[in-house]
Amino acid sequence: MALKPDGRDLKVIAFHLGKVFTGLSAVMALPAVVALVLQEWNAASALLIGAAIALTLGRAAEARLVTRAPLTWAQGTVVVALAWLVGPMLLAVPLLLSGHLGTWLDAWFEAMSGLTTSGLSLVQDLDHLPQSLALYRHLTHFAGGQGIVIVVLSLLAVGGGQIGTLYVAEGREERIVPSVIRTSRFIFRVAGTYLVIGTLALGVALYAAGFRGWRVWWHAVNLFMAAFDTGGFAPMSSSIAYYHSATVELVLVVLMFAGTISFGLHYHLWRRDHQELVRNLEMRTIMVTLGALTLVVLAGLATAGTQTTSTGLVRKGFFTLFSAHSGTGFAVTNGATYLSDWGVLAPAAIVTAMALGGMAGSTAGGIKAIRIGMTVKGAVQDVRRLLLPESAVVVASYHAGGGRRILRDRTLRAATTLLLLYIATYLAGAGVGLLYGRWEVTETLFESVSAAANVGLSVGIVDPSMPVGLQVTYLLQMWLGRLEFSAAFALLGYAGSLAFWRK
Amino acid sequence: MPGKRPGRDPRPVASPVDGLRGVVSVALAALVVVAIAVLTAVLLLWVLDLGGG
Repeated sequence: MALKPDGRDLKVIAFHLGKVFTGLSAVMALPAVVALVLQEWNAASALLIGAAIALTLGRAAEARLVTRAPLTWAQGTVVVALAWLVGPMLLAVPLLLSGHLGTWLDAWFEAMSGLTTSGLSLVQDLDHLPQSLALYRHLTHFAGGQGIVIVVLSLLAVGGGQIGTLYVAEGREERIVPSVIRTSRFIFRVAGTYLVIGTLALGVALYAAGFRGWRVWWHAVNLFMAAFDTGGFAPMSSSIAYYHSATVELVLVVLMFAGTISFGLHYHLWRRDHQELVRNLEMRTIMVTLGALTLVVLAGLATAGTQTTSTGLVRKGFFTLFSAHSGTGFAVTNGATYLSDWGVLAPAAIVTAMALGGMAGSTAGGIKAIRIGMTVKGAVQDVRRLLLPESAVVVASYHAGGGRRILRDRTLRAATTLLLLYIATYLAGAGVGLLYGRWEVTETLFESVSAAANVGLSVGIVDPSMPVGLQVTYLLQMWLGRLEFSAAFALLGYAGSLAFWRK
Repeated sequence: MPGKRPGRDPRPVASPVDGLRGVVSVALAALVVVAIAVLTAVLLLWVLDLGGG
């Protein structure tokens, strides 16, 4: 039975939420400086107003609700769930004030999509968005990709023991090193290193594609944040097709690959454990699913007659598949053509890739390779149990985190439960879409999977004119998918306890 | 071992060179994936007799 939450619980939760809001104000303040430098006065005022609101709320909560009480597990998960729900509301303020989003709900959707590294967009006239606001959209990917709550609370030096719960609640499987603060610092070192190298590589590729001057670095930084954080926003409405460059696409594939790798695996590579790349269960699972789905997509496109050259198959088919599997959502073709021109096999493989997602502990969404790998190993284990004598002890093991681990029933159950929850969420979103009677099941399933797996590819349902009910559905799917359900369920349980206990 | 604190890994994380090596490994792995995709496309077109280049 849930314990009765009291005023002290709410105070601790609000205090830590205040810290997160203070951190979110910095996400708005940085592009505000850029706006001032570029003399984009409207954008600057929108960003500064947003930052001021977040800072005021944050500082007020910190000042009035100051507490030294440690965070319990339940409080921590509620903080994370609320931060990922309310945080985007604050981040929506500059977007709404920009005039490029029709309603407050559109702006909340856009900010949620950014922070959860989904990439679905409702921005109107994206190509004429002020540069500082475009940078701001991509910065939300960067903040969300690294895990905004853990980053903020690590930087604001909340006690290490207290934030361990937040780390797990924020959808990260395991600490890379025993201290969460050191883990957080390592994540930032990885992101910082890739930021420098990735931006330089993209800059060179863009220069080769004919970009010159400040546009090289502005596009490079934005694209880096969208690729490495497997987000999918792009500076231009035609996404990656805008660049018409195989070199840019190649660099983006490398960055998407780096983004879909768990920070735990990065850690081992940084410690010269290069064998981990071939032994790790998640990497093996991704290689198998990516290989099989590549064959299906390319065969589907070739037999449908959509692409009949190897260049076309790779640049359109493979790039889109990789973008889907990594949870990024970059597009190199008009989304409406996935279902109209790509035949049957190719879009089916794209939806499957989106649903599977990348590695746990990365910025990618979806079911995650570790759960697929464990479920397959569990199924094999069950078959072996059936075939071997009853007295035989059947043990399955897998390689992860630099060593061999026994696949325990409890771990397997947790993996399969989450797998089923993701599938149920995909189907539920598709079902809601069907209720409107405007789209085929293939379209609603594509869009629902894209939202819940935090991918961002779209066949066109996500549009400023979409129904409000469906918009809210996708918004909640993005939130649930990013938090991998547990924190969201904890929030619902907590709210239920409050309602139940209050006389 | 006397004097050794349990749970500490003696190998430090990481000099900038180690970080760079990590980045290069990831880049190479990604390029291998792309190369396999290109090879698959070429073989597929050959098998399906579509003759594209």
